[in-house]
Amino acid sequence: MSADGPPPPNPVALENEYVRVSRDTAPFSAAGGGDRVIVAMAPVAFMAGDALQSLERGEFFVFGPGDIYKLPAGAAFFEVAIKPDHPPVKEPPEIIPPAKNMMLYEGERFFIYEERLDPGDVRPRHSHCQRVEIRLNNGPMLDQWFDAPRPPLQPGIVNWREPVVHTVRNVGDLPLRNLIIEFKPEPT
Amino acid sequence: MIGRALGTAALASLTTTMAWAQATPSDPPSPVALDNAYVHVARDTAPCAVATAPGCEDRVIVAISDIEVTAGKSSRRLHKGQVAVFKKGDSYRVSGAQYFEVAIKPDHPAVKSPAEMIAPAKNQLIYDGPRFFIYEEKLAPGDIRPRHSHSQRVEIRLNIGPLLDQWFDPPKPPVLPSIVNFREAGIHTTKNVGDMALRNLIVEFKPEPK
Repeated sequence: MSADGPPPPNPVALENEYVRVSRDTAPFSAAGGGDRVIVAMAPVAFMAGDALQSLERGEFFVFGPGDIYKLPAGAAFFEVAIKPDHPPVKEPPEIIPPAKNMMLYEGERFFIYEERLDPGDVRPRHSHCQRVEIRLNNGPMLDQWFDAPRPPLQPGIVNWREPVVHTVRNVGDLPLRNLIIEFKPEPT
Repeated sequence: MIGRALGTAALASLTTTMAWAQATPSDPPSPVALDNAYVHVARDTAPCAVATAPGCEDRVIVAISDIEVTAGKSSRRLHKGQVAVFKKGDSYRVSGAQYFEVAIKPDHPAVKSPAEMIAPAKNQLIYDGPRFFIYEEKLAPGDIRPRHSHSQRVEIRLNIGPLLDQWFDPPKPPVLPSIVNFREAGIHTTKNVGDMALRNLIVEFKPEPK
């Protein structure tokens, strides 16, 4: 790490056996893969097939396996690509819907909602399957480059969350506002 | 509450309060925000307020909301982020709801410092003493603090953002929110990639005299 400043952010925000989340780039924009979700982090206009679409920060567009799209250079967004051959979805022992969130999309294999919680507020006991969390409200968040060099600590704006049953309280000073793409339990 | 009772015990026994568990969201948070070989940070309680309490020498009261700190006949009103520093032999009383008491352990191990001392830019010095100094660490969203270094330090976050405390089923040890942290020595460059100004109150040890 030089004294000149930090390197550009990693174009891969998250990758595991289930998803690959790309930052400000769309490597899966061609048809033929799995489901994909474009999540805008700033206002963006882009081509979805033959149509021009506009999204505000926190809005998203879902594309099926046969769809194509093209994002402009310099746009701030995440491309969440669901890997079609991912392992079985892990789920909690009990399915308890979380209160106080806003459902935005419900598909066959995953659903998308905005997770909200005011400062001081409690979300009673609830559960989740595996999911991608994209933080829309962050608060102060430091990216760091160490001397002697270590792998950079990526800020936790995009996170992978495992199944859980829990109760949560926002002990911070900003409302929680996360865009969540949550897998549905496997069909039985 | 057992946690409160433990929180008012003498410092010598305070490490036992690490066993505190906030079983439900309606329980009060742990009175121990941080405890290690260097410091004990108490939340909303001041187990080191009496000068004769064992192990209580250098102490810092950090206001998180409006509080009043009385020492002898003088009284000071502190707002969020303001501090009152007390030395060995001082006693005080704190009135008000939200604050931290940072007690420096007099027999702490040698302070770890970075290989190179590079003062961090853009911060605001608040107190400069023989063994530690206190400053407000500031960084606007998108701003970069060029390469700089720190010795070991206590970080108390004044701007937090959204932060979840969680209670798991089946129970796991509580995940305490990271409002108070102990940071190790290092050299780094930082950038605020969040959407809120960084605002931390830092109590940083000075390097050991050579």
